[in-house]
Amino acid sequence: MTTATDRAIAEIRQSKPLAKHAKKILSLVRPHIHFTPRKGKAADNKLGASRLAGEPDLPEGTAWPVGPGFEGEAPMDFIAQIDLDSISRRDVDGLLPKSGVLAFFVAQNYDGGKVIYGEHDAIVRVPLPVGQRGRRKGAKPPRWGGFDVTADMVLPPPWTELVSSKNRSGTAWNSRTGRRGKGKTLVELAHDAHEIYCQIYERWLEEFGHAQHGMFGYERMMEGAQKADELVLLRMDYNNFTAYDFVEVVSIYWFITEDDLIAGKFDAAEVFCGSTI
Amino acid sequence: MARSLSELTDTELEAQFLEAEHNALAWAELGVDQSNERGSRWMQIAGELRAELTRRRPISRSIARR
Repeated sequence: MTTATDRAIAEIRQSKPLAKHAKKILSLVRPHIHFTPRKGKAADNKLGASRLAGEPDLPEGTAWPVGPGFEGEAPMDFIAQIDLDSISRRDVDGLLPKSGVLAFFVAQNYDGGKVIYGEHDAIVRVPLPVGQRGRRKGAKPPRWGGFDVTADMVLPPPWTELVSSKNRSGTAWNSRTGRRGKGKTLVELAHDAHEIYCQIYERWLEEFGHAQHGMFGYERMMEGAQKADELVLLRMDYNNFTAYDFVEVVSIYWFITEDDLIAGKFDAAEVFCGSTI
Repeated sequence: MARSLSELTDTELEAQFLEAEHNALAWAELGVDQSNERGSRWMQIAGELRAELTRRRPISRSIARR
């Protein structure tokens, strides 16, 4: 079976303008643990199970994380929880802990976030504190969603620090760090070659899907937030399976370096919320 | 530890085998940097899944033989 990715790879190899850089671009094709969101089931709400939103399972004694809100400090929004045991077979580079749970939060005003790791035998359900955001005692947990997991490959997006045009580099800026200037671009293409790559990438995206929820993929084309040496620990795109409304964001990323990930330094993960491009 | 193979349903097992087999070939064909290593890992996973398929039920053997 030939997939969209197989076709895009063949096009990159066969393109004359890309010939000089094809190997470098293809070396940036990454393994992607792909999440397909769906309506939540009862099993998704079990302690330690993967789910989208709802209530998190955190190491005993861990308080619900707090961060910048619209009016001072506020409880962060819980976006997703991942049962690492259930995805470890698909972590082909062996970067994640083989067991445990990762819970992902984003600040109410989108300016910050948190990733919390817990061992399965040491986590407990943590409801949003009573009184916060109008939560009443005994209230039902917020709506949760589930997701199915597969493994595939993703292409590096153009107009980013991964692949870009020589013409753009002088004015490029990272929308997360605010850093301007040429910066580090892993594959810098001549203008015409970059145009060809954009066309291949867009055809691939149409078929593969614009939403790329999951781990170790890339940011969106032109997002300009991911640093060249960072991995996407998690990317969650807009979906309507949970109570989280994505009202001002399209994609939420938790970026981390490979070194920090291998060392289990999940506190080092940085959040970025991408809005409409 | 990873969810053990015996916990997977037949449908999940077959789907994961096909996925692993496809990924093994795709990474091996890419032929750059770490891709051969990734292809080998997927091939190993596909082998484990195939062994479980073969053990579990005859209907799966046609897939396992591929």
